[in-house]
Amino acid sequence: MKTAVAVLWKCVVLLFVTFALIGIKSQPAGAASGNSGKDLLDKLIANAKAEGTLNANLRPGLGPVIPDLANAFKKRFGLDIDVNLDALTTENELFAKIRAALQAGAPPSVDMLGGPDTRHIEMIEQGLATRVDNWDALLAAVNPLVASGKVKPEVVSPSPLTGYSFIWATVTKALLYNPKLIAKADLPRTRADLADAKYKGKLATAPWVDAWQYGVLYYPKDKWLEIADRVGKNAAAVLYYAASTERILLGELALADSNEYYYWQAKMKDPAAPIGVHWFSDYTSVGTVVNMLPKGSRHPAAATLFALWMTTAEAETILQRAVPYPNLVFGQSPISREIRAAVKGSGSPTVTWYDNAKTLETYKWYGTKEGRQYYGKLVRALTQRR
Amino acid sequence: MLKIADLSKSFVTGQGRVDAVRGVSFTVARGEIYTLLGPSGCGKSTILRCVAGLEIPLAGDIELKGTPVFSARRRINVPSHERDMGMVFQSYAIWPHLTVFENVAFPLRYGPFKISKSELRVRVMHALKLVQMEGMEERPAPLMSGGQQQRVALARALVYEPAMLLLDEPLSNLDAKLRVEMRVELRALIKKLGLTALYVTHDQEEALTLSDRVSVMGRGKILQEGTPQEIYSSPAHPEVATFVGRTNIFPARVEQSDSAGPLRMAADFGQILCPRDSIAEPLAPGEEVWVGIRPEDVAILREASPASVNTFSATVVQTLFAGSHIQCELAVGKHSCQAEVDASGAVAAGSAVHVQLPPNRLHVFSRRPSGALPTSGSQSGAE
Amino acid sequence: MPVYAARLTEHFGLHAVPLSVSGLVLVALTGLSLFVLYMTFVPGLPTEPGFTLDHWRTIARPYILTKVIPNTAIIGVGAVAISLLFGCPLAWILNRTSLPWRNTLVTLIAVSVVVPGFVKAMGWMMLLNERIGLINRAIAGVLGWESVTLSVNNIYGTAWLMGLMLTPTMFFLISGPIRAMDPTLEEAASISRAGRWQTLLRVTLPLMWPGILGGAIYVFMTAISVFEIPALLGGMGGQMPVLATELFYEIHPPSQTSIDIHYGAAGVYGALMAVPSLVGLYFYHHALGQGHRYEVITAKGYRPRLSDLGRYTPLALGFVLLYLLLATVLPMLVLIWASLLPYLQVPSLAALSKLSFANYTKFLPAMGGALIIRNTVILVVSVSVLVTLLSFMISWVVVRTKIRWRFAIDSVVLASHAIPSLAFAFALFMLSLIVIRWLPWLPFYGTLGIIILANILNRLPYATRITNAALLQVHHELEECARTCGGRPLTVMRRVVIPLVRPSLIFAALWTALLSFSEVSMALFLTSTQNKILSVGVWSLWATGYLSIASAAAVVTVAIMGTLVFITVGLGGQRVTSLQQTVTVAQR
Repeated sequence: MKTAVAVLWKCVVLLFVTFALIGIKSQPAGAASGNSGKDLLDKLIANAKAEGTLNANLRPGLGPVIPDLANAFKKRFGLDIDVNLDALTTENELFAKIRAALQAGAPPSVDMLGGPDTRHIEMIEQGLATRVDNWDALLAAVNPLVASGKVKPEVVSPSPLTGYSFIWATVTKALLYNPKLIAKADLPRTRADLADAKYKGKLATAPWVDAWQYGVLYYPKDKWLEIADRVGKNAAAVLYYAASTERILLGELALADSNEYYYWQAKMKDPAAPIGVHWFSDYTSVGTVVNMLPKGSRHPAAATLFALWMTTAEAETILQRAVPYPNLVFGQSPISREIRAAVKGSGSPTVTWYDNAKTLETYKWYGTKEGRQYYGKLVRALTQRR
Repeated sequence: MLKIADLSKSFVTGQGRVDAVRGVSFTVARGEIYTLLGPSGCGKSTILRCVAGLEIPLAGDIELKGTPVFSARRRINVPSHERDMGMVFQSYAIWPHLTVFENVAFPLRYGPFKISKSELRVRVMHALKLVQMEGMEERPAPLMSGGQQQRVALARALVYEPAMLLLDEPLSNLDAKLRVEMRVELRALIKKLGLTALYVTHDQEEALTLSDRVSVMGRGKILQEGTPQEIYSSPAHPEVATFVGRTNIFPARVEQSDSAGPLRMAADFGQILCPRDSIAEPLAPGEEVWVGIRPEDVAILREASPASVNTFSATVVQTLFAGSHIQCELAVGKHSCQAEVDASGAVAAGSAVHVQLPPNRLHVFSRRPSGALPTSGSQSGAE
Repeated sequence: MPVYAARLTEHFGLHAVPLSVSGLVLVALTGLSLFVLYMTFVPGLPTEPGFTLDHWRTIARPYILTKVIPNTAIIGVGAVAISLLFGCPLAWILNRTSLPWRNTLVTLIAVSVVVPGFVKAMGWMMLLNERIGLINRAIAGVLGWESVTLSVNNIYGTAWLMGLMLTPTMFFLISGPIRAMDPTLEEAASISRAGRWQTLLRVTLPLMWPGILGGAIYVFMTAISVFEIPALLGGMGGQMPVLATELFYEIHPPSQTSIDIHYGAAGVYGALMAVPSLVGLYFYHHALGQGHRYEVITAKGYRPRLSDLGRYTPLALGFVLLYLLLATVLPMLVLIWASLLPYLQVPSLAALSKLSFANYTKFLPAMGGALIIRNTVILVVSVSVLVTLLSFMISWVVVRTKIRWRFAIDSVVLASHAIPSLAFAFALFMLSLIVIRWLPWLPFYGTLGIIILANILNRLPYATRITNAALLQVHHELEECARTCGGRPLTVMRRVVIPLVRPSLIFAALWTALLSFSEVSMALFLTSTQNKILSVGVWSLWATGYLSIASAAAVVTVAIMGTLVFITVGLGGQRVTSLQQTVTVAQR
């Protein structure tokens, strides 16, 4: 009897050890670290729930879809927080005030700042932006396109903005014109052609000159400045894009150095509107619209989630219902594809700041003192403000 | 009823500090109409406003019915709305957004009284009746004439039967005839109701007809206090003499004379005699004085009789017909002299006559306290 | 009560609250103005120390001296000229004659300020433009020309439009002196055989000149600080620069040479704009002589004489209607036209086929929903109530008390109008940054509160003119009598003073409401994600290419404000419109 108990006991121990060994062996790799994208995301979501609020600005015109965007965002992450999205303030207005606030030591009024990437390099270099830790893992967890490998993380957040800013749309600069006032054959071929005397008084330029910054990639700096000055002198007025588009539609203005989006906006209102879009043959600048977290963002987790979510196709579809903001870099929606095709079809070479080493270098150069001075001269030349 | 002691008040204006009231004291007995009379700027309105509580004096005491309402020393100041007084303002201060009834009812409604609606109506109508304005109660205030507004202002001041009535030149905005009528009515009403009144005016005729006692003020001080008769017939000060009624004033010097006989004074145009008992204070020989005589006391003679004293030759400069009398302006020596004669005594301008200054009608004032002769020399109390 | 305290209460006491409030306002205005000045001497952020004259040196460049300043002068002087051209006859016709429907016409003039500036600019561009102007086409058609080179898109056109827009301001400023003028002065002229025109030119006008001068200075100050109109008509570049657009540039990068706000330059432009106004005010005060007071009208039923126009009635009516046409009707028509189309087009048959009400359903969602309406209501109500209250208290101190520095209060309040509102908003923004660092719990930075404060400070100069005049009209004996009748100070205020000045207070509140409702340049600068208001919403929609939707929003808001004005005037009766008489610029 005693031997039977001993043997039974040995079997039980043996069974136990076997099962234990099997159990240990079948644990998945990396489970012990807890650093998978999903875990990070879950932590982020938990933090966002604790924060309870999000204040962010969107591009103008998105007002009507704000409720849809907010609801879709909350649903995606199971959040029940206060989402305040503002589609009336442009980044231009917000940017300087945020900078002033941050420099004065005050918190920024938005948790996530969205807008064109042109000045973001300076923000990052001056330490006024917040880097997102493990951004690539989080991006993969949020955006199916990135997770599937179709779009590389560095495309969504390219250097030198890597980890700080995330692209969700693009701004393509083009020439808008009134076909009743000027024939297609008379349109300037290149951006430099705008300096030609025959366009005097027919052209409107804008108060900002980001499209012209790319010119130094194709022309010598001094020559470009000269061209800019002649273009400035040709301009009848310096107007917001919206205002110059209006004047074209009214038939009062022939040409406007503008943003192609306004062409699409006009056509959406009325397919027969008297407006045309023309792509310059020297280059077509594709600026990116990015979201970033300013330093001292009061609700960073929620802001990060929203910034990352805006890069998804889901967000793209919703917002394009209100406004056809295309994403020429990695957008998948029909509108994005259509516009990408149109630009490609025109034969105009597109350029972004992240294309290659040279463009990157120039982008960074604009952030230096010398670059800022050149930019200042460019502005003064094009707006004729001395 | 009202006791004022050593009241002082000054203002700071663009020209600097102005002492409006300088140590004024007087008493108003119950049932008395006491008038402060004087030219503008003499401080009379300021005193009234201090009594009403609209200004705060620098120093002094104000007592009403034995209770102090203001004391600088004891640091007491009862605010306007707690002083039992009624005031009639020069501009009447009728509130244009209220009807006559509402104007008069205001003190009863918003003052410290608790009256029922019906009693309020009774009292308001009674007050309106006193001033003969019954039937006008629903009229909007601005639609009334000056005289009517003044009556309403009076009714409003009377409706709550204040201990004391304050009147700040209430008749000065009325036309002349109305003014004369209202004087009589006002005095009769005040006496009928047995009220005590402090009255302020620059019109000496008004002061004389209306008041029981008058204080003539000048430059912040009381110059003389007394009954109208006293003020008129025995002015104590050349300013009083020239402000109340009209007086001719001549400079003279006291001559040596024995203390028993009449006082002799030397003026430019001759010697003036005056009985000693009509002089208020003793005057030393050689002293400079003013000699005053009212125009109605000046006699014009065609020839001088050797027996008449104080007779001097004069020339008639001009005559003015003033209805009840003739005003003559004469030149006596190098002085101007006004005389009033009745219509029968008319003289032609340019003729040579004699003026006689009856000795017992003379007023003699020493020049000691303040030498300046008031420039309103021989006019009646104008501003 | 202790005597020295009693003496204090003679001045204070009842006056304690108005006095402390006025003191606060004085401190706020002076503080902000000095802060603007301080910014001009600091090299970078105003929160960091340093001293430099560089900002001032930058004015001495040819662009500023030969383009910006002359352009600004043209706008200022031109606007004054146009507003006088319309304002003086209008003030006389609508106050001193027996023209029918005077009250309605006055109300229409008042309502015209609610139409947003950009609409008036766009409208006028459709009317008077070399290429597309309707008036140009009409004239060309009549005269058989190819085109007419008359355009509103230049500095003179801008001055013309500014003048039209500021005529209501001038009108209400001159109406006071015109109504208050002693009719016997005119009667004396007519007795001496002077004809009506002679009387007008040689008696009425010269007597009016202090009021007119005051109005001119005020309009000048306002005209040179407006930025939307020159920006719209002339653009934001170097083609037609004025000080206001330059200031806007300095605080709204990146239309700017660098990424940051140019605090120093902004302050300098603000100061430059303030200088001519301050000089004008100073000259005005001294030209009138020290201690000059306007005549006090007592409660004696003062009635100005009304001229009968007789056979000139149609002419006068025509003039008034012409003004309303140019300033109100035409822009409103453009507004409605724009709101019914997908995009703004010149009238044509093709355009007519596209009319629809679609935009009216879109503007609220486009502006983010009902929150914007709630914010706007809170803003307008709180600003008008607080401004009326504050200006009443300030006027109380200035008119009723004998405090020695009451004239300083009045002058500072009036002079603060010289500083452009944009500079004020900017200074407030900077202060809010400083405040939030030290007092993070204070709801200031980025909230509706800061916009409310900016509007309050901005509207005080005008409102105090109204309340000064109103209180001056109430003879002090009316109050004193109430006191001697047993009324406690509060009762006196409630039962005597307020009823007498109520029409003026209502007018002040209404005017403030209208102007704070349509104020956009300050709000635009102070806007953040949480404090959106309607004027900013409309502007933003326009600026981002949604003119038609913006126009729909504007039509709705004009309708609402117009109704509000009519209701208020209707309730207040003739007394409200008849008491815009009581406004004059510099009263002691």
